Amino acid sequence: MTRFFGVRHHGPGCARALVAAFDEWNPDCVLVEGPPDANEIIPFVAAAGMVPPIALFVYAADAPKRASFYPMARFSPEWNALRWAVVRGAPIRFCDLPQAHQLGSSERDAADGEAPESEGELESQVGSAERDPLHLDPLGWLSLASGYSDRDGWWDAQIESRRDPGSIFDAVAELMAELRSKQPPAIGREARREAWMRRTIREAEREGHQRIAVVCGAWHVPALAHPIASRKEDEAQLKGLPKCKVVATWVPWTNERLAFASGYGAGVASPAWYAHLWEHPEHAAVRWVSECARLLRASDLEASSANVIEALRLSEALAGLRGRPAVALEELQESVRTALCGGEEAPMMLIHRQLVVGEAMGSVDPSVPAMPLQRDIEARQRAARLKPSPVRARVDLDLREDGGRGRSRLFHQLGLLGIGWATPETTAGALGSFREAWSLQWDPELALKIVEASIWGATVESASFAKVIHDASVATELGDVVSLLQSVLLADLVDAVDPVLARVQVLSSHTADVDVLAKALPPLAQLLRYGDVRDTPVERVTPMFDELVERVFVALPLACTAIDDASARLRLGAMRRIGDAIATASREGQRESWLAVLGELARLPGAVPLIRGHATRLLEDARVLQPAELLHLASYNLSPAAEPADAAAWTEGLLQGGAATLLHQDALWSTLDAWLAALHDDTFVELLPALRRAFSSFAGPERARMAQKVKALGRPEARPKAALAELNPERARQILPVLATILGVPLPESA
Amino acid sequence: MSDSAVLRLHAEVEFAAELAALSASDDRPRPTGWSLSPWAVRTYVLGGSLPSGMEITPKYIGNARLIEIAIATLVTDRALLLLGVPGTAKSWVSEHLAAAISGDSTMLIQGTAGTDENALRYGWNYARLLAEGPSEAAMVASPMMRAMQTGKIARVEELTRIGSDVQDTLITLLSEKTLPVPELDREVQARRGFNVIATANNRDRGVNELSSALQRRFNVVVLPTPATVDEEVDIVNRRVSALGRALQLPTATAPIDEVRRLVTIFRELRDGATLDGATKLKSPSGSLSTAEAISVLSHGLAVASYYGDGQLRAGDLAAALTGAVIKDPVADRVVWLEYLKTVVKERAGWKDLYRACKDSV
Repeated sequence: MTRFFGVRHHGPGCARALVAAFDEWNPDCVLVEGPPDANEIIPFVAAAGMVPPIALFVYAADAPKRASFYPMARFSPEWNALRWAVVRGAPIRFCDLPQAHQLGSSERDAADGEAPESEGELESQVGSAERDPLHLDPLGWLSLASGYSDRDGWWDAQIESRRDPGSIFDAVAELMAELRSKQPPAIGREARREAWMRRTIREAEREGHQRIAVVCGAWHVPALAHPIASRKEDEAQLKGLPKCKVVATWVPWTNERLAFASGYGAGVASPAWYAHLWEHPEHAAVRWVSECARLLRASDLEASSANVIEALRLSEALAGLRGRPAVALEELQESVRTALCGGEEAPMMLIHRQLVVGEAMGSVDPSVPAMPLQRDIEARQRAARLKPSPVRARVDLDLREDGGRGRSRLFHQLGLLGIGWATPETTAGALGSFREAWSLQWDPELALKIVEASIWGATVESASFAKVIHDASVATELGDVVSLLQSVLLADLVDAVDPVLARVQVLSSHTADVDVLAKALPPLAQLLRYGDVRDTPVERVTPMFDELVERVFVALPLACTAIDDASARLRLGAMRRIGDAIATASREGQRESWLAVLGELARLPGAVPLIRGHATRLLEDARVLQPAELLHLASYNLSPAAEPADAAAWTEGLLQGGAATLLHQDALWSTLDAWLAALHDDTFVELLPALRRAFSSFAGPERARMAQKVKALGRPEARPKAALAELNPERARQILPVLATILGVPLPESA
Repeated sequence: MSDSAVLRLHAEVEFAAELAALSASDDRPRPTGWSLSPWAVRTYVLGGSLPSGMEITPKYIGNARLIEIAIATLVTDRALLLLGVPGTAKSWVSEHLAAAISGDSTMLIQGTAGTDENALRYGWNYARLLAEGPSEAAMVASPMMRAMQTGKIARVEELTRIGSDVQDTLITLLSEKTLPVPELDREVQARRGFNVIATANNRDRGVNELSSALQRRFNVVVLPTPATVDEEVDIVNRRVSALGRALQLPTATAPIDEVRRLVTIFRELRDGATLDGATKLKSPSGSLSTAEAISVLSHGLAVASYYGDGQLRAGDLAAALTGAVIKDPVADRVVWLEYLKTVVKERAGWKDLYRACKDSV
């Protein structure tokens, strides 16, 4: 005899009823909707270290990107069916269409293509090929139709919240038969899945099992219990399926991933509430509201026992008013909000995060076969004393200590492998390069990334090394390789430094583009200046940096002539980067060479005015320009013969990046003033946008000071004189000791 | 009581027919002291049709679940605090709940900075007090005390405007449900059916913040501003028609397009963005509630019917609309002009409104 147990995936009431029914009926063969590719690893469910939520993870051996996850929680009927059978030694197997056939099929690709979540090789047990909304969530629609505001309400009230669900399975089967009778027969992937399930059932019957229990999604029951296709039709249906080699394993999962919010089709909106129902079938509501109160108190919010009682009374009154058989999560949440949280939304978000969805993360027994890389990561995590958790946490590292360096190394190496467990954060306020801040968050789907990264090697170290060498060899952009070099040094992959450096050299010699070369400079300069905290071999970077700088110097003037406005702006960025990099690296003689290049640029007739202006500005900043020279350049560029547009561009270049140093150049301002005043009205209007742009980057106070300056241009000597006249030498002398202390110079005796 | 000269009828008078019909068809258990069952109260507030075919008009349009929570709160003998920004129908809901549950919405205490303890407990008729000494005849019962004696709902409006020390009078009253009168050596114990509905504005909550002891004794329901344009248009339309009838205006209804236009302006300024979310806007200092939209529209109708051709036009609305938006003569004026120029002027078919408003600023 074969009995069908139509369940809702992750339904605690279903699971409870299922276990009770199994205990009573004692099936001698259990078939569960799931991938038969994972039959081998079913026995692990009884291992001590298996703590749900965990997921079956099936991926194509040659293309790990194609993968499916089958999550299970403690309260999932499937999980309980598996455990029941394994513990009692009853034969158990999965009966869904093998992933070996699904992952190889092209129909899957089409389905994935239209799936909204792009990273989503993730697929629900219900299946994503069926797009009919009624089919995807029949019970959800039933719930909405019955006047519940959420999709789980009806089922929760009818099935999951029952402490003694009795024989719900017959009723569910009947309900589904009714729902499906209004639907067209299954086609495509779903038809094949159900055909495979029927085939597996027939096999089990042929093997002579007497009491076969089939645990599957409620939707499938009618198609299995009253077969709509004969054995022959099914076999024809299953003929010639594409096939690929797949691997199955168990991976840890999280509550958050179980929830609808993360885009998982057959998910549940409230995993933590279900877990609560599963663990405390008695007084579930009372306990849950008390938990809420405890959580609020732990967050320093007021929550008295009296209000807990009021919240419960309110929830019961609400359920009565709404004609519900029992208090559901919906009523509880509304009551807690009204009676405990003063009607506010913010505390409810806390409750939602921790007590409705939950932050639990499962773990997998070490005996479960896994990729060597996975094991190595676990070992490194243990060594670093960091436990993967789904809750985002911030870690501050001190790179002067061995522990901090070790962790940083691990984070950087994982980052190179694309395993995004740790993401760097900015260290606000911390000076020096010995600090790093990271934000850690384990996402179960990282299992996929680990499998993908496994092709590079068996340990984090060797895999990241191999991947870096590969990435460097295929990279064609200098910028990419330089940032790779930076990561390599940060990840402390000493052996990879030389090959990557060699690649930088090769690419830089092929690159004539000043912008690209300029982009490569700052990271290298950073390494030169600060790299020594980690004892990395930066001395090998030095010759490279020098060479690049030389090449930039040679290429820059040419790259600044005969270019359009957009390129000129790009070049401004490049100039800024070069200047910063040279300042950071502070190599002998480079500053002088750079100033010489700038001097050339400022006077180069062919260079575009914007660049000429900015070069002048950078020279002025470096204080190598005599006031007379500056004035000379200004009057040349702003002379009446110059095109007004060019003159405006020159002004813009000159004023880029703060005007503080220019404020005291009276002569310059007079020249500017004369130029502006001499402009024809029409020309002035024409130039206005360019001029506005030139001044737009200044902060308010700076602009105010400039305005002051302009106002006082006509009578430059008036103000300072007045100030001097009021100087009181006696009082001025009193501040000299303090000034001397600040400046660190001895106070002259006679002063 | 139902004198047609009365400017505004109490809810239980205005909707007496509905209440009577509900009571007649209500066969579900009524809590002691309630004149209707909770289910019938729900129908009264949210609207519906009775087996007799009578239509109950909805009094509150919006989230039905909030009203259910409010009713369930009163069922459990807990005091109810309705919070919300101005014009979110707090007092309206409180009045109708009291009318449906007690058949009497007149036990009303208007909260002001000057409300003293006597308004919440009892006062004295001093002439009699001097002549006869303390006696029941000399006592002046507050609405709260009368509600307790008769087992009805007492309403406290603008709870947070009452001084904190006076608010605290409510604490023991709500937990012990009794009011001692030491002068007469007796007490007034609340009869079943007594409860308190308070309303407070959570925009200026800081006036006299509720003490946590008092807050603990209330279940709090926050009434939101209407969720969608259609909902708000519906509310405004219904209320304006009802008001127009009550004020005996010749033109009692506004064209629905005009209502929609008005509600759109209110919502956009309130949310600080156009409805399509494409343009960011500045918000004026006023709250621009649904209630204000209703009053602007009623005003427009009155202007149209007495000074216009009986047809509501943009010009009839402009003055009241400008007055509603510009609460701060300097800052709001800028906001309003900017809105007129960037949004109203550009919108197809809104030229008339733009011109009218431009003139009235």
